[in-house]
This record gives sequence, structure tokens and C-alpha cells, in this order.
Amino acid sequence: MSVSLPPAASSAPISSPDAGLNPVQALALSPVTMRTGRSFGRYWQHVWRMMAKDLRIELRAKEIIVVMVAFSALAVIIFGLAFDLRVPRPTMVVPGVLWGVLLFSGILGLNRSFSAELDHQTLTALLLAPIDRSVLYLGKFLANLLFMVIMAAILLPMLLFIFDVNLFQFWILLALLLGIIGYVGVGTLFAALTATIRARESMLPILLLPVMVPVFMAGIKITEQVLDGRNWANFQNWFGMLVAFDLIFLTVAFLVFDLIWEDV
Amino acid sequence: MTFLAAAFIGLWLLVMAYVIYLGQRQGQLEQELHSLEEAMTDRGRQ
Amino acid sequence: MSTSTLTATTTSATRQRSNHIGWLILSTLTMLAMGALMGAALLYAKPATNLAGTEQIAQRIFYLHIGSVVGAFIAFLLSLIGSIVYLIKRDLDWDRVTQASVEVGIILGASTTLAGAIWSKPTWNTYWTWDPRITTTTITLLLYIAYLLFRNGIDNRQTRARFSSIYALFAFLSVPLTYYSARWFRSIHPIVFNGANPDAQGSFNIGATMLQTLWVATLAYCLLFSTLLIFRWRQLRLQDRIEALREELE
Repeated sequence: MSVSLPPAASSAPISSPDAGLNPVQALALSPVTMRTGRSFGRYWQHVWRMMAKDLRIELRAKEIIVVMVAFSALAVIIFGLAFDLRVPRPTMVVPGVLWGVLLFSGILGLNRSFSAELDHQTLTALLLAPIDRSVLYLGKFLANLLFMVIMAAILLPMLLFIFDVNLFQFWILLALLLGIIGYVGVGTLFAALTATIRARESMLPILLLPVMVPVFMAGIKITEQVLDGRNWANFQNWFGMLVAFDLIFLTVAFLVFDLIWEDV
Repeated sequence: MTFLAAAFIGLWLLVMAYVIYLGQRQGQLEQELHSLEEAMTDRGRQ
Repeated sequence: MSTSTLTATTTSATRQRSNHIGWLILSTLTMLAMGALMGAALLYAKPATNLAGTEQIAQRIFYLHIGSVVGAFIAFLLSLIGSIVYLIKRDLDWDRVTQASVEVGIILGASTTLAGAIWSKPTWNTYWTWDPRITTTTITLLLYIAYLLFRNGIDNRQTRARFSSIYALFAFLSVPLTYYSARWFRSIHPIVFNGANPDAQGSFNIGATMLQTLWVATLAYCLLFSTLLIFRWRQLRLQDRIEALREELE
């Protein structure tokens, strides 16, 4: 886009690009471009490509989803055995099992998102690419989100089989979606933080799980209330908590992501 | 009564443990500083 | 603020001496205040009128419990300030403030939880309750212990400061959300806006001497926090200087 010059502004003939120009003239000659590559749409194209790259790698290697699904299936079976004859009604433990397994198996997927880049030495290339670094964050966020949603989609039927509790109810699914969004939003950032340090795999759960407690509590309460057959008024403030968490933490994560890669 | 004693003693122990840790660390650091200063003066003399 | 390399300006000898004397005065005041608190909590404060027996005696733990939670809160608030200022100014002194205040905060937070747990037993016949404040304090402790573990795993000084400041920001932001979650978690009816849950305090009436003791507790713990913080902060500065000196020699 260019700005048209007011005819009376320039007095001297323009010979070289910067000779004798006032700021308006200089601006007029070089169109204003955003750091994000000339357009808002282009930015989201980059994000999409980043996400697609991660999805393609996952389709070929099948590391993340398989590991997460296997772990969550095992966990559900173990909890099923653990509570089998001691709990009168499975609806008593299912909310806890659902959210607990979700939190722990999510770690497995998140760990891979940046450590894979480091292992294959592709991280430098990503950081050198002429794109805003927040593209890296959003792309990985969306990819991790998709992986976790797929895992949840397999987890819910497993819980149905083992505990005989139907979790396919609207408010539970919505809570799962919001909770996973918050989890992946913070988790992607923390995965980036821990990717380069010494004890990386063990550090991520220690950092992430305490921060996720509000989401954990909200998710469990909503699931409980829905299974108990209560209506919206009982858990509306928990949804408020989930939305507040997502908004606050995703914004902060997005703003702060650049700082991680400063000296690279 | 035991609860009162346990709580007061426990809290004091926690704070004292940290204070002792700080004291020991200070001693270590000052020792290191001395040895480094000596190394520097030795270097300077050479 | 002096930087961590020897070649830059360091605090002059007279300034160092006056800082040292200042800290000695502060630490003496702290010890006096803590002594006064012990006296006030154990002797001066009148026993709670509507309690009896073990519960009445154990109620005195309350003063230490409140004092340490105030100290812990100030500590973690200071860690937030330190993180943000470091990320803006990149002055490592602020990162040292963050680390020192997190450490002191953990000690005071652990004191709060310990006092609370020991007080719970005679009062509610259980060591652990999911009382929102105790739950939040415990999770906050975990958050900040993770902070220290995280710092431990990063070798580069600037990276350590930057990454841990980012984490400290998230840690602090999650505390109010955790508090409200914990508050709603146990209540059967939805939103409870007004006032604290009366059960949480163990329901005793606060008389005049008790209130005064509470003020003494707050003052004493604030002084304790300041003394420990300043000492640790200076010690971290010394540590960084030694590191820089060591690197210069190699």
C-alpha cells in the first residue's frame, strides 16, 4: 500500500532514494509492511503451514499419538483394576480418572513437540526462518491441540467400556475442549522452556501440573455435576474459570514466547 | 499442649534450618573468594 | 546496582560497612520482634473464650500461622515484581531478588502449612483439610519448589534468569485462580461472594489482645522476611561475582 504525496510538500527534486526527503516522502516511497509478512492472512498461512508440518511428521512417525493413546489406555485399565471392587458406583471415580489420565498422558505428547526439533536439529532452521516467532508457538499449539483431542476421543470410549460411564455429554465435551486448550497453551510454552535444559523430560510435568490445578479442579467439578444430572446454574462459574484461565494464560504465553529464543 | 509445642518447635526448626544453610553457604563463598583472590595475586606477580 | 564483573564498579568500602551495619540493626530488630511474638502468642494473648482444653491451647498456633502466611505472600509478590523488572531491564540484581524471595517464601509457606496441619488435628480431628487456603498454599509451595528445581537445571546465567522469570510469572498468575477454584471446590452451593467461610477459621471470637498479637505477628514476620531476603540477596550477588572472577581466571 502507498500513501499519495501532497503536491506542495516536496521542493527539491528526488534524485537518490534518501536525498533531501522529509519523513512523509520517505514513507510514501517505501510502502508500510508489517513484520508478519505483508498481510494478516499471510501470518495465519504460516501458522497453518507450521501446524501442517508437525501433523505430517506425526503421520509418518506416529510417535506422539501412539504413545499417548497407549499410555492412557494402560492408565485407564490400571485405575479400573484399582477401583474395581472398592467403589460402589463408578461415577464416583470416573471424573478423577478422566482428568488425571488426561493430564499425565498429555505430558508425553508435549515433551515431544520441542525435543524432536532439538534432536533432529531443525530448531535452528525454524528460528532463522523469516517468520514471526509467535508463528512457531501457534503452529505447535494447534498441532498439540489436535493430538490431545484425538487422544481424548479415544479415551472417552475406553472409559465407557471399563467403567460403564457415558461421558459423551455436551457440557463435559465442552469442558474437555476448554481444558485441553488451556493445557496445551501453557504446555507448549513450558515444553519450549524445558526443551533446552538438562533434565528436560522430568522437568515439564513438575512445572506444568501445579499451574494446571485450576483447570483440573474445574474439569472434575463440571464432569461430576453433569454425571450427577445437575443443570447449568451449578457449574457456570467453573466454566467461567476455564474461560478465564484460557484467556489469561494463552495471552501471556503468546506474548512471552519470543523471549525464550532471544539469544539464538 | 503437645500440638502447640510441636507447631512452635517445627516452625522454629524450619527457619533455623534455612538460617544455618545461609551461614554455611556464606562460609563456603568467603573461602572460595579468598582462594580466588590469592590465585589472582599470584597471577599478578608472575 | 553494581554488576557481577569485577572490572565494573563495586560498592565502596564505606558503603559496604554501612550496609552491613544496617543489616545487623535489622536482624537485631527481627530477633526482638520474634521474641516479642513468642511472648505475646504464648502468654499475653488471652485464651479463646468459646473453646476448651487442647483446642483452646492449640489455638495459639494461629498467630504464627497468620504471620508466616503474610510473610509468604509478600515474598511471592516480590518474586513477581522481580521477574517482571528483570525481563524489562535485564539487570541480574533483580533476578537475585526473585530467587531470594522465592526461597524465603518457600520457608514461610512451609511454616504456614505445617502450622495449619498441626492446628487442624485438635480442632477438626484431621491433619489435612482441603480448606481453600491450605490447598492453595500447598500448591503454591509446589509451584515455587519447581521454580528452584528449574533454575538448578540451567547453566547459562542469563538464560537461567530469563526462563525462570517467565515461569515465575505464570506461577504467580495461577495462584488467584487456584485459590478461587479451591474455594468453590468444596462448597455444595455455587458462588459464595461475601466473606470468608466461617468454618475455615475454627470459629473463635477474636478479642483485643488477640488482635494486638496478630499485629505483632505480622510485624515480626515482615521483619524476618526482610532480614533473610537481604542477606540471601547479597549472598547471591557474592556468588555471581565469584563465578565471574573464576571465569576471568580461566
